[in-house]
Order: sequence, then C-alpha cells, then structure tokens
Amino acid sequence: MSYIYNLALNGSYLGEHVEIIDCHAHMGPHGEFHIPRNTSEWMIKIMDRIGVSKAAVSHCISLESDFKVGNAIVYEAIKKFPNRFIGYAVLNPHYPEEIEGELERCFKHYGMKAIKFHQSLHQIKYSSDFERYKPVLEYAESNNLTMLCHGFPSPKKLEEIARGYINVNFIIAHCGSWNMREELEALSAAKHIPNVYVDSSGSVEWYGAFEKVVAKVGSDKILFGSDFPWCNLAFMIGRILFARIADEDKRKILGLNAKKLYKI
Amino acid sequence: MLKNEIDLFDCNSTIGKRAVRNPGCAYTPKDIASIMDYYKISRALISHAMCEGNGPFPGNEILLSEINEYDRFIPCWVLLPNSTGELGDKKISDLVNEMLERGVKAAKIYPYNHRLCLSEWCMRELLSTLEEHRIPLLMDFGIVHYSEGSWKIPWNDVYEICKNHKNLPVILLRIGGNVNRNLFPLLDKFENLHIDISYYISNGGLEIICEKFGASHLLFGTGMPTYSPAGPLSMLLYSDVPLRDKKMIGGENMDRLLKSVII
Repeated sequence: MSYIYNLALNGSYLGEHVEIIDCHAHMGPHGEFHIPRNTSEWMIKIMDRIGVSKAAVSHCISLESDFKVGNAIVYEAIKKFPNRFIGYAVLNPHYPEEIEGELERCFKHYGMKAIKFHQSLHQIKYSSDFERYKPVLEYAESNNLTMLCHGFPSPKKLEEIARGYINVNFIIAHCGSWNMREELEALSAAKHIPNVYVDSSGSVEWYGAFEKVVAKVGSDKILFGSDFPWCNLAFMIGRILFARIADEDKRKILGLNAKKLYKI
Repeated sequence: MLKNEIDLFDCNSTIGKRAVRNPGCAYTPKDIASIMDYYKISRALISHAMCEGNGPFPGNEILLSEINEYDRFIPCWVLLPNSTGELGDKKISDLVNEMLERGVKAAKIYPYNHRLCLSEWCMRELLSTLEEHRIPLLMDFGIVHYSEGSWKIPWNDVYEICKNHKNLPVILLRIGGNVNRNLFPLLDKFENLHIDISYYISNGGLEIICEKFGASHLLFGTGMPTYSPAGPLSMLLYSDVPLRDKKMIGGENMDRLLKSVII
C-alpha cells in the first residue's frame, strides 16, 4: 500500500515526507458566503498542520472588487511569511489603463511569480473579449510566466492561445471535479499541448474520478490545487493522498510539478 | 496511530443502480464494502438508490434483502408523508412500528428530488411519529455543487422542524460549504440539528462548529458510492479538534443517535 496513503490514514504531518505546494489558493473574505479563517496567519497555521510548504495565492478582493487592493494584501503576506506564499498577480481587463502599471508593480516590486485569470468573476469571455487579455499574455510571454486560469475557452481557442504563447505555462483549474461522463477538453489539451497543465481543484469529488484524470493526462501535467480557504484544504488534498495511484505520481502532483512551473 | 482510534461509521451512503452511472461507480453491497475497506470505514448507514429514483417501495424492501448478509450495513428507509397512499394502506404509525420491528432505526427523505414541502401541514404526521420514537431523520437535498446549498435547503422549514420537533434528530446531508450564515444560527438554537461532513467544505468550519456548538452536531458521511470518501476522511483526520471530538464525529454520534431510538 502507498506510503503516502498510510501517512494520510494516520493523519500524520506530511511535510517531512513529501513536498507539498498548493498551486491554487486564495486569501480574504468573499461576499457571497462566509469564508472562515481566511487571513494569511490562519492559512499558515492550517498549512502547517498538514505539511503544505507553499501556497500560490490570489486575493478574493482582487477577484471580486479591486484587483490592486487584493494584490497589495498578497504582497504583505509574502513579506510577512517569506517563502510560504507564491503571489498571483490578478489583472482585471475591465481596467485596461491600469494593467501595465500593475504588472510592473506585481512583478518588479511585489515579487509575484505568476498570473491569475478569473474570466468567470470578471465576466470576460475568451471568445469575444480575448483581445482584452492580450497585454497580459504578451507580458507573460516575455517573462516566461505561469498563468492559472479559472476556466478555459473552447479546445480550439485554448490550443490557439497556448501555441501562440509558447513561453507561458497555462494551468487550467478545477479539473478535479470532472464527472467522467462529459468530455473535458482541458484534459486532452493538457495531454497534447506541452505548455498546458491542469490542477486538481474542484469541490465535487466523484468517486474514482481523480484516478481517471491521472490516467488521461499523466501525472507530469497535474498540479495540486485546493481553492483554500474558499474550500477546505484538508478535504481537497484527500483525493490525492488517498488516490489509487503510485506514490511517485502523487509526489509529482503534490509539489514537484509546481516547483518546475514556478521555478523554485 | 490516530486513525486506529476512530471507529468510522458513514451516515450517508447508498447501494443500488441509478439511472445515470459514472464509469466504474460501485452499486453492489460487495463492491461498496470493498471501498469501505480501503478507507477503513467500519459501518455504513445505507439506503437504496431506487428509493431516490422511484420513491420508498420497493427500494426499502430490496435494501433489506440485499444487505441481509452484511452486519456492517445499517439499514435506513426512505419515507414520504402518506397523504397519497404511496406507502401503502398502513397508517404512518403502523409503518414506523413495522420498520422498527424489522431493525430499521433511521429514516431519510429527499425534499428536493421528491418535491416535498417540509411545512407542518404536509409533514406533521410523519415528523411527529418519527419524533415519538426519536428516529434520526436524514434529509438529502440533492445538492451536487456547493453553490446549491443556499437555495436548495429551505432554511425556514429546517428552523420550524427543529423548533416544533425538539426530540427529532435532524441530519442535513451534503450541505456544501457556503451555508454558514444560515447554519450557525440554527446550530446555536437547536441541539437536535446535525450535519454530515461529506461535503461540508467550509475552511475551518468543522473546527468552528466543534468550538462554538459542540462536536455532537457533526456526523461522518461520505455520499458513497457517487462521491468519494477521501475528502471527508482527510478533513476529519487533519482537523484541528481534540481526538475526543474526532471520535464523536467519526462514529460515536451516529451510534448514540441509533441507541436513543425508542422501540
């Protein structure tokens, strides 16, 4: 039986045994519902309990109201807890006049390492509004950045984007909720396009689905993501810890792949 | 180490075929028992999927025959108010007595999928009869994604049921993680209200409930075999609550509720 499975079954601290980097975390409050314990201090406490060494975070304020305010709070968290938080710069295409300055601030001053797109909360369609993302994509291309995308466009558009920006690594989020019956284009894209990855986040955990994601995509192209504190970190990591896959695959998903993408 | 001290009792699982089957999804008692073995779940309170799709009968009867050889499966019948006669000619009280005689000490309703109004004018007889025997009543609101918890659960009705039937143990299943603003005031008011943790994905929610309202409100559940036990099990094992609380949530609370049933 898997070593990691046994550790999890005992509720053991994992940090000494496997490097865990959460590629999809948030921070801060949410208007629609209560997110308890959403501060950087609480997040570190929760990460330490499980053994998660780093979390890549975007702030809920960035996603739901003022992207610059949220980015600044993430910067404060990075300063307060060195080497524990990886900053996602959130850029809201509805404010094109502020994008260039915020990119400079986030990457030159704040030390952020990646970009987060949330086309759902920002209500930007890849199909019709894609031009509005171009300045950010071009910046990412020039600086070899990783981008975490809440969703994804049509397979054709995703392929067009990914092949057009070959220095950008795209992580397509929430593939952990795949229900196995409907075709999930992100999975085949991750399988066939070198710079497309998926993350394991997604609150609905259909029995047996995660193993099928791994079989379909391969463990080299999947990153652990929790959506924490939007969701519960321990709940979301369970699907990997208990998955019926090899420990070698679990280690890649839990942290090794993220290390490569974030260059840490 | 820790795990071995928690006797896991899953309060939320089913057997039987469904109209839509996810690839590889188990449905026989044998296969579900095998999943339980993998996750070290000792026992499961189990109902038949046919009852969700087609109403209580014949699913309740089939349940008893299919789990007959398995001590680890504890039967739970799906019920309705009987104004339509769907439960047969018996009065609710006679049906509940028969249920108890046959060893069924828990009941489940599907307010959303069975289009049931939970108001007293519709549910009083059923609720009062179950309350008389202190039979735990599980409520499955058909929530798939957590965002549905805020509108599929009729919070006012849950309030009225808990208030009017204080001896009825009410268990809300798979409620999602976006419900705290409605859930916490109810937990504060009613000792007879419980939730299963199968999909309670609120960050720190489990810990806050234990601290503010008591671990007695929480029950380990999985939603198996449609949903995976991995998430709720991992959340319980890594939660920041005393081992005492973990043991209660893991199985002791469900045991206590079943032992409190008045035959």
